[in-house]
Amino acid sequence: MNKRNRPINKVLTVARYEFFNTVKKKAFLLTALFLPLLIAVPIFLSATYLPNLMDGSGKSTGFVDDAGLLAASAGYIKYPDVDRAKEALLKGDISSFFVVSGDYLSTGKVTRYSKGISSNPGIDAFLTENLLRYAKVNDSVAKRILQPSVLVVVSLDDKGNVKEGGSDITSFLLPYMLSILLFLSIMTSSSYLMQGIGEEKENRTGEMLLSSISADELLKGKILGYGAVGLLQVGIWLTMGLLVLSTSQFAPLLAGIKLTWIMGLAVVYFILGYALFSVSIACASAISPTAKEAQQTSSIFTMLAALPMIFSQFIILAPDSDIAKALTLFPYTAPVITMMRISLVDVSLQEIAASLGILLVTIFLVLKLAGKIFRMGMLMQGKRPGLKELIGFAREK
Amino acid sequence: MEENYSLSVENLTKRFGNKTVLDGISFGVKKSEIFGLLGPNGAGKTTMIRIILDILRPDSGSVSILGSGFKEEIKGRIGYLPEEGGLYRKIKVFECVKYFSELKGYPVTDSEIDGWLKKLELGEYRDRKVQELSKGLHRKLQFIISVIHKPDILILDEPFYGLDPVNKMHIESLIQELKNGGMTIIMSTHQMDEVEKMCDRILLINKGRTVLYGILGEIKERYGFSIGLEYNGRLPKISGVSRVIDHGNEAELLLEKDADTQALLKKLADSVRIEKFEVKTRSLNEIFIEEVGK
Repeated sequence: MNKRNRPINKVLTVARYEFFNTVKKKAFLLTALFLPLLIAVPIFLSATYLPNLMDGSGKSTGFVDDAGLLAASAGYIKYPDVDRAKEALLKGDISSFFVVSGDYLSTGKVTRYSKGISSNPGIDAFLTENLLRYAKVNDSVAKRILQPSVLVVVSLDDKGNVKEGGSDITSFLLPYMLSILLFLSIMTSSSYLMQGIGEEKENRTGEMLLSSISADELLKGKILGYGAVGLLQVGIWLTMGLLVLSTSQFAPLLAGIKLTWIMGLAVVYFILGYALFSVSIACASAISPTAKEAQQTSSIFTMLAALPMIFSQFIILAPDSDIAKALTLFPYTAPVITMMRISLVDVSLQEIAASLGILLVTIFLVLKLAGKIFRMGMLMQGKRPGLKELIGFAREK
Repeated sequence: MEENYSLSVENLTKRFGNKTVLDGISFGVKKSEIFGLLGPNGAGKTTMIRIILDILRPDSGSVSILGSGFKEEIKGRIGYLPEEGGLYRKIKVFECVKYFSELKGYPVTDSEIDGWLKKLELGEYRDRKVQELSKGLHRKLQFIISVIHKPDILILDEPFYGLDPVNKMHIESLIQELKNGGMTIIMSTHQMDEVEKMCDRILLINKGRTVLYGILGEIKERYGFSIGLEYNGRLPKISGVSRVIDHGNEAELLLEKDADTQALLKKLADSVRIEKFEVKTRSLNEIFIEEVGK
């Protein structure tokens, strides 16, 4: 009857629909754009303006030197007595002033005067500089006392060769940040997936969908679509984060970041980790009658996803412990924990291979079960199946 | 099974746990006929439809669709209007039709969608959200989605559910039009008057088993005749009548085989004042009640 034209790829149709339908939602726009802005703007403002606000909007600091040790320098104005300094403070010429007592060398007593709350972290450095000059320490030694080290760290591998991957701080930060991003993207994508399936259950769309597309195709399309949503969201966050960082004092750190195999591994772990969590959460959502119950049923997986964050302190302190190694092999914690450990110690290739292998086998098994549970779950209305029913679903042909 | 069947089901059995929902059901649906799939609530009709659509798999037996066993691409040649449930509520009517037609695996043009929307008087709702539609309009939208991809087989589960008499008539005529165009239609409904009006053949199942199967006219003949009676008074006990469905002033007298209608008329006239006396074949509704109530 029908003039059959070029067949449409149903998995991509579902993926496209779920992706565009989600990114058009106000909730997505709010979470993707405004949430990071809400966090970044105060941080940026406080980093830029707070030091000025704290010491009086960039005004100089006054001092009264009863010990006769100090000389005025940029940002520091000398006053002959407390009354003059007080007068300048009240007029707003200075943000604060401090008085170095006559017995300063034996007692170290310094009294600080200001209006309201203010801080002045530069006083110690100013005093140190003056003390070095008073003691007639030569310039190069004085410089080293003020800045004892300009640290260059070289990481070696087991054979004593210099490891690639940028400076020490970036080689720690990069995998650590990637593990956090991994966690965030898995959580974001999975929560959209859960919401989408929950709405379908409430609207009873399942039967209509399954009459047109197989449960496997539907599941794959959803996982692809929501995975892309998660990636887009994390991409937006990452871009905004990098933009803020590049204008901050941490900008030099960014320059030290190099593309390494670690980034490639992070992508592999993201794909596998997301696949495992999304399939598990899709099944949990499909067997729940409402979106709210889907959230409750899926909470076991969101807790599993949060496990690496809960263990992060422990992993940082003992990255080579048996628990850390076990969590590297446990499929639901492997992606984030492995990336976290890589930032701290050398994780052997065998360990990484074993972790990836277990993850792949688990995904294969979960996918096999998921198709059946998802199909039967999507048809169920009004109640959540018991364990016996779930076993029955798994046995379905 | 005959070669001209669009759908044939052989000895189909399905169990959920210890409960047998379908027990060795066999039937065939001919090309371009309207086939009635009937049964009381819980008879196994929905399970049967889900197996035909490959949403569920049978424990034993087989389903042959359009000459072969089920293949995933066959879903694109079947249209389905489920009794309940639904559609995405927060998307626009046009987008909804477009998406579901794409899910069938073959592209449908925008003008085809607009044509169907106009045909079912949904044109003005094209860019409105599905959740803004009334129950009847929602049902019509579902109908469009079930036929937009020009399927070979159309499965309608309670197609008149939620429709007012005007829209009901509209859908009825569309179903006839699709049948005349060569589409095979399987209709599951509790509205026996619609089945009598529209179906060529029927399958009645109860508790997962076949109760009646065949050409509607032949089945009705097999059940003999009944008398439609309008009367005043008190009905006597009459021989030749197997069952009386009495509504007070109106009654349906189900006749035994070879009952003498003249003798019956005389006997009734002795006891009550007769306003109307009509000998007719038994309605499908009566047959349904009789078979399912056994």
